[in-house]
Amino acid sequence: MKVLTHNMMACTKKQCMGKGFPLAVECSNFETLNQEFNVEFTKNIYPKLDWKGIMEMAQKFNIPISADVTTHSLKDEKFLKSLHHLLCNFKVITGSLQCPNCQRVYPIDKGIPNMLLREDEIYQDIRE
Amino acid sequence: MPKYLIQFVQQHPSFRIFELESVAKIFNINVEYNPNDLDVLESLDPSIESPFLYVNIPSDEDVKKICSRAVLIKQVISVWAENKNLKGILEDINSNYDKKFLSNYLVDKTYRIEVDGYGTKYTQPKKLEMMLKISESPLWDNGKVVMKPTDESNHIVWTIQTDFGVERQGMVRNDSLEPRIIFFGQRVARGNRDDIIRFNLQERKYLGTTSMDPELSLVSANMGLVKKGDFMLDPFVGTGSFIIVSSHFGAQTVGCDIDMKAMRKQEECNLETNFADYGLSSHLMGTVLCDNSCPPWRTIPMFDSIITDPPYGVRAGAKKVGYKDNRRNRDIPEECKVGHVPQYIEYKVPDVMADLLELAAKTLVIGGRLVYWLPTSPDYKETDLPRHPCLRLITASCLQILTNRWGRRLVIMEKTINYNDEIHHKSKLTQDDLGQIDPQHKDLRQIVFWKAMGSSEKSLRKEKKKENHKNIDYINERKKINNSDNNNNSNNNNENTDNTKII
Repeated sequence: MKVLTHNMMACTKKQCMGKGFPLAVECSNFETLNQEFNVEFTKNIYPKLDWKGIMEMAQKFNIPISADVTTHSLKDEKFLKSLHHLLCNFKVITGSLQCPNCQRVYPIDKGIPNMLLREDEIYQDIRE
Repeated sequence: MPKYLIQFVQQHPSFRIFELESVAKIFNINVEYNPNDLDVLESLDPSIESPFLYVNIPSDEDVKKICSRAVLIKQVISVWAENKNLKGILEDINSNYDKKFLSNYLVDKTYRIEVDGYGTKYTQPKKLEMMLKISESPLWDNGKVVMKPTDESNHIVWTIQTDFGVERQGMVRNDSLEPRIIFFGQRVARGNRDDIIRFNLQERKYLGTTSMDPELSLVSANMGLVKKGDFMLDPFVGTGSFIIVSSHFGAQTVGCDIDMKAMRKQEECNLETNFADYGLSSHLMGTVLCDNSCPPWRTIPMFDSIITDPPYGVRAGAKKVGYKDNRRNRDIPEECKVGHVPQYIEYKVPDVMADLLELAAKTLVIGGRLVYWLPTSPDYKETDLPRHPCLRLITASCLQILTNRWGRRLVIMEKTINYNDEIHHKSKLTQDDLGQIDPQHKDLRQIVFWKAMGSSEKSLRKEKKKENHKNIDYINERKKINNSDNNNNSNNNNENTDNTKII
């Protein structure tokens, strides 16, 4: 799971809709990649990002990105590069995600987050 | 705007014009054509149909851009003359153009002539004979013939393109057969057929039973307006045909599936190794194991396109997490909750479609496209299509016929308004908002495999089978009893046991 995917995800429970992000990341093993800078994509994805989630991951991986959104500029290549580096070059291999609302834990194995709910949790939704 | 002649490939007639329009939209090119010509282009009648269409496109550069993406275009010709026969073509060239213009046209240039026929094949001597028929023109005064040019920019490919149409009733194929029409002109560009070879399934390491063939994958990505810098999702990723071609067109891609095996079968052969083999690893943002009835995405516009081939129960069945009927209400013990593998139940096709449209309504950007394949039978009607108030249907008329019982349609939708939970929540939408009024795709297995036998007959047959089994059991039991009774040699006992057994 790359940081970008994490940023787009939320808890799958219906009752957490609008509240189930950013998922707290527990990371026991991660990979650092070295991918080419993609300026179009970074510009495209910038307005869709959840900054709370970005800041949490930036701290975790030690990437200097200012939390103050007003200082960001899409013309600043240095900023775009570090953002792209954070989004695309860090990949969590094993670990877990936790919903900030319902505390449900989703495991990550071999780089693939398992977002499946249990049967009884689905049933919960129907009851509510 | 200059006029060009597009020759489309022979297959998928109903997809041609939508692909052309989509690709033109990707590059923001204005393409005009006469809508009446579509009757000929998309006709299923072999005596009418023709893969040729005249269009107006602003420049040669734009034609080349379109051809760099469009898979269903064979070639684009800038036509100099069209006539019933070559003699007429020669006359047209010599009379329609100025003599000086013609003789100076090929100065310092190299050229070659290609002869090709739609609905026929030419031998090399025949091709030469045809070329010689148009040799008496000042056009050939200058220039040098080169078959394999080193400098493409100074090289002109002339084409003599004949149109016989596909074989039809009453048509006798021999040398005396006259073509319907002959075009003569300069080829501007060839379509993007090379990508089909690049993504050939036979050369792909990791495959599944339902992997989409490369031609239709590329067409789907074109319909989804996938371009560089886009963010694209396939919620039923399987072995990843759509995300691979979308990555090839420069998008960053994410895939979801409920089946862990579909995404990572073996360490050395899986979806990620496929990406690595094509050198596209940097475009894969990852795969997520999830259930599409509860998608794991935030509710904001983030994807530029969603392209998918949902499972519809013919070759691969759809599944979602839930209790099976016989296990309802059984609680999972506390100590087993972590690492629990949930059970899957059947995910009905209309539900799959409704959830897919809701996902698109929630996560697509405005103007973003949802492109998906929908199974249909000949009983298809417009009301079968699932709808959503946030999405506008562009077309569902692209049909690939698979057998005479069923085929599949490529449905293209565009997001027009943003999702609002208060107005657009599932519980607030009526059946009418969502469409799908008694859709024929709700039980496709029935149509594909059991049409000859109605559902009631089928269940009758099942019951009969069960009864037969019971009878056999009964006979076996009787035999056992008789044997033991013979051993005991007691007639009274025999009758008694028999009676009790029967009761």
